[in-house]
Amino acid sequence: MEVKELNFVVNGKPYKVDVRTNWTLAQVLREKLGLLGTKVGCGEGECGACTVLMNGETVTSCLVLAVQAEGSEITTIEGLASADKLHPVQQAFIDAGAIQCGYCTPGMVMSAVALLNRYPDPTDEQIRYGLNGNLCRCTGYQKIFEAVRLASKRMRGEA
Amino acid sequence: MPNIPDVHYEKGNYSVVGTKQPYIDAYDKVTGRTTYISDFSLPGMLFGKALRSPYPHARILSIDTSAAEKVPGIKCVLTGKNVQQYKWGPVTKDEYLLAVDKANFTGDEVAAVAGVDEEACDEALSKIKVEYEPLPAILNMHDAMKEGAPLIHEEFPRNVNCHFDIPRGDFEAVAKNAYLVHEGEYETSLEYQSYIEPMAGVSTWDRKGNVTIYAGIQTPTWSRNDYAVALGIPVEKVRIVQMYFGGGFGAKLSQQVHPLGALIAKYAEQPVRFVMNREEDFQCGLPRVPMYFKIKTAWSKEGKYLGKYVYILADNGAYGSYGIPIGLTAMYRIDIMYQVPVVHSVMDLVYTNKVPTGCFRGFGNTQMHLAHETHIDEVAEMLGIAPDELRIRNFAGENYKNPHGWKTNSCEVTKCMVRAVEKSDYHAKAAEMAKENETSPDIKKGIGVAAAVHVSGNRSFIKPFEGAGILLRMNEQGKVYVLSNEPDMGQGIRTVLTMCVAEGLKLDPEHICVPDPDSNVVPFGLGCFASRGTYMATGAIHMALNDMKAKLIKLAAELLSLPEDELDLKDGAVVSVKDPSKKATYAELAWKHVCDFPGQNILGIGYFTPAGVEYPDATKYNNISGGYAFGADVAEVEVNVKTGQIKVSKIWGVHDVGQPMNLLALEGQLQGGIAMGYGWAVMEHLKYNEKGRVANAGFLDYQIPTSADIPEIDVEFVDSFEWTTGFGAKSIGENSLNPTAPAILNAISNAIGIRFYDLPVTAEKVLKALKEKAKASGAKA
Amino acid sequence: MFNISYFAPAKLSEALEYLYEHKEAKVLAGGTDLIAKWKKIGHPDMELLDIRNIENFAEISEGKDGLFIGAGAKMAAVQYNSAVNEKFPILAWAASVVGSVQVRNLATIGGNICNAAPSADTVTPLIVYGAEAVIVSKKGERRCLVKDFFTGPGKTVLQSGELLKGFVLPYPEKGSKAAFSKHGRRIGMDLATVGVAVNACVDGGKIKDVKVALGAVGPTPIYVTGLEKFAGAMANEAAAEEIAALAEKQAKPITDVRGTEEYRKDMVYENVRKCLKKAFA
Repeated sequence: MEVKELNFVVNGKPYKVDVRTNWTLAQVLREKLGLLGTKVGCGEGECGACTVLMNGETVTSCLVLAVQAEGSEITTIEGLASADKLHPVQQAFIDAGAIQCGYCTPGMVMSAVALLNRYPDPTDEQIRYGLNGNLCRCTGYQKIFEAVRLASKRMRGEA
Repeated sequence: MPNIPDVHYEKGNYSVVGTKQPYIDAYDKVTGRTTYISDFSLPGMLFGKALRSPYPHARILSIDTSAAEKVPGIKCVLTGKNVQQYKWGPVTKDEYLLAVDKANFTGDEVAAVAGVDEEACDEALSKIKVEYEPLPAILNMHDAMKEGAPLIHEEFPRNVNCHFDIPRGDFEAVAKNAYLVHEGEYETSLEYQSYIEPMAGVSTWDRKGNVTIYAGIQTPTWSRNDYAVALGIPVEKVRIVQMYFGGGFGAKLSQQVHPLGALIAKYAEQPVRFVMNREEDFQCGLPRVPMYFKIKTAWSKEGKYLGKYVYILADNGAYGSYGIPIGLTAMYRIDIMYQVPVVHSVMDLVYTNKVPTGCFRGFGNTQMHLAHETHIDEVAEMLGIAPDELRIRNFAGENYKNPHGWKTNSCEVTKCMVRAVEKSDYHAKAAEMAKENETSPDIKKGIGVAAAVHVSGNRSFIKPFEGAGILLRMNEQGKVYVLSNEPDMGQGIRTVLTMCVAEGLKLDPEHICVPDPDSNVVPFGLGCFASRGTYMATGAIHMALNDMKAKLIKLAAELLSLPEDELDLKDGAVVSVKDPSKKATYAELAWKHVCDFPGQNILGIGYFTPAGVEYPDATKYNNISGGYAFGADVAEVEVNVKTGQIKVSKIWGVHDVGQPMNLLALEGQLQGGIAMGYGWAVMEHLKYNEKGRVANAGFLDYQIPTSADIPEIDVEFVDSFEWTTGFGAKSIGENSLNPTAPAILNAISNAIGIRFYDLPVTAEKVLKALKEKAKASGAKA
Repeated sequence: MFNISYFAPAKLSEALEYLYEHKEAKVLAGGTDLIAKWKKIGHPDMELLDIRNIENFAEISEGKDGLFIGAGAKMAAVQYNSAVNEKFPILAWAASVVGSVQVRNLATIGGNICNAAPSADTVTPLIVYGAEAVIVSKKGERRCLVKDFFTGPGKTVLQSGELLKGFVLPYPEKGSKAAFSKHGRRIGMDLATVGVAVNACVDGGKIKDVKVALGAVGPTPIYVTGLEKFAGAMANEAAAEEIAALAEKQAKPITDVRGTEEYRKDMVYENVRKCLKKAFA
């Protein structure tokens, strides 16, 4: 049973933890760090519920071995909001009614944040393609699209 | 029995109800704070896993668990042979928690383990040796009743779980004199709910043999009965605590995963978390009951719907689950939307060696809608009447009583259809598209309509009970707790009940809390299925609010020495309408109350049962719901005739939900239901290979719509008020999905002149049909 | 207990030494395929060589004889790289339709090829651009055309101890134009039912050279042969149809959950025809 020391930064805090080499990043976040906001919906990289930012880019943390995260910076859903304020994407998801059961929400929000980092004023097409790695079964996506447009407007100071 | 008011409720002057309110639990969900059932742990908790049959049908000759028991970290290994088993099931009791002699589908549980982590469990499972004798399997429902077919359950000859024949009048006599008789056959596919969190539960036992199951479940109180049977213990020893869970869509009523997890925990003598992985959930969930329909209808020249005969063959998979009521629903629920004097339906529910099928949003009614709403379009074509017009000529209206003894109250189905047609510009578009298609070589456009009905609660489940109870408790700070058995699974009933309290008590939502149902605490009830939650719970809370309001006014009248009729509620206080400076806040009243009556909170008690609704008799006669909800969809498609690919460009949905409660949630639910109907129509199909295994047990090959695929969806609600319930609300949960797939199929037919009779309509099927059509017309020419 | 033995060297020489010593070791690039498959089969014991730290393994650089793309270059990097977009647009396009954003942020072009899945999206563009795979081992370096890289489903020419370093894509001839098509069941997140890439060089309305590659319609990606005879033919609809028919004949699809043999053949014809029409335009 091989164990390695993993040094990485999660939500701005440095961590040094011993992890088994066959653990995934999702497992370490959830079971070692107690960051249960990262959900595991399929474990096969198909549903996107476990999406986190790794060095600023979205990845499905169920397909990343924890050891692959050595030296990386990870942002999970818990790390988006500041002490007194939600991230504009989070706020927009609430306001637009883009959340129902909420199980896809953490991953969806992370993808939306990454999308708006790349395209601050995205086209409908860019939104649709930018989120297609995150399955949602409740909403039919319409209110998620609205939320992304709302967040974009607010982040650009238009609303 | 207390007198339940049979009141004709009137629409109030609402300030909260009917507005758009963000979900009150969205803050925690969007920050990752919400604890879902698969996040939940108990101290000393182990993990449970099941060994599943690799064969669709096999006798279990022997099981050797000795090697598995020696795996480090394994606490116990159970099999159907070493642990007493009881047959259970929500309707038909035909399933063991662990197969005893025979496995009946690929994925059937054969053994189970508890261990310190999932890896230890996996290793132990890999070391259990099972000797099977594979048996011939039934993989197609059409083979189930054939002579010589293998028998799945000894108690059910010819593999028939049940046969129903419900005649209301003589169809053949009607058909004889009809202007047109049309017959069609239709078939729906195996569809998987695809909730994003798989089935899960955490169980723990005390020394006296009481079990608590923390569960992702739609029916927390009611399922205790089923789980008690499965575990062979009295129902009072079962407590269910409902947790947040990632979507249900019907699959998460009584599920094998909970009692099996509890059984493992019992022998492990420690709490156990049992979460299905996604592949297991695909192989062993409770997907939609596939159905074959033969529909025969009779019509007058003017398009009057004279009679209908339906035969249904329904595939229950290996075990019964809710197959019987699902089949019954398919048989006749649609009969409350159209005024058809003679209806005759026959149904066979059969077993096959596939995954047990069960509840899925729409409960058999969705399957029937696919068949029937396609059928109606065919008839419209034959009669030369526009599809919307033919429907409107036959729609039910208010107070329509159908041949099954069902009665509508509010009914705005015509309004829904008229508005959907108007919004989508259906007629102009249809003409325009037909013209365009003449000159467009590759892309053919089409547009289609369909209508739908569903219940708000279905009286057919328990003979002595229908309804809901609500207990409002105002604590000593004046905060109101809503104790209800109707759980929130994302549909937003927590927010709806909060809005009702805010409306009824003029209280800020900050001071309202709707805890998750715990069967030790909440009033008895059935839970959220049959689109019953909002209709029932808002009916009950309406009464509870009146009760609490009266108590608050009485207390304030005493405190303020004012007459009761001078007092009203405002901003969390009882206020004099003459002199607003004279008031008592709820906090003051609540504190005074717990001091005057030591420890006692102010309570508001409410109960509701729909008026004019009765348990069906032996012939399935009697009205089963107090609030029939209606809707209509229009779908627009583009078909590429070179590839068969279908693009659904836009869907309009207009529904009658009575009084909208939370408009934001309603829109979201309707959009979500339409999205599901879209997926069902063109992509979703849980396939079995020749070995009897699910061939696409994952989201890569069991495809649901992604954000890139989803059509634009436009939703609206017509003005309506259901007078049998306090706030006037009906349902949206299931009806949201009912009209979508047939509207899409009708649009495809409109585009290419080819009708599809089975689901899903994939690009392949379309291209094949186009080729056959070309061949046939070539042969003719 | 199941185990992974994990090694992530910074030096190529260390990696090659490891591969030489550990014959069963698997190379971990992005892991989107490898880890998913490993989980599916019950996460058994595995030796892993992670190549992400190896110097220059993710580089994309313009050399004299062509563009070099390191095996460890992420799909997202290929998708957005300006040189790739400018000179090899259908490779950028193919990279942009691999899985989802999350997959493209992890998955590498080397992994896409080494998995040797017949449906791999970037393979067909690499083939029609005449790309060469650069293979290294303790013994040295060798090259192999991508069209000859595959020997069966999941099987490649890579020998024990060998590692894919990257690809060299010769700069396209003037007047050549490529087209790509991914035919899937749905738009988002899908594997190709049929993948097609074409690259045609047209001069004065006549075909100088045409290459066609097919994905997901055989045990390996298919390089359509016998197209030399079209040199000198008019680059028109008729030629496109003839080549499409030839491609359809050479396609050897199977029936699986993603599509039937018959439909895939039809889609080879239709997509090759459509792509050639674009390339000839």
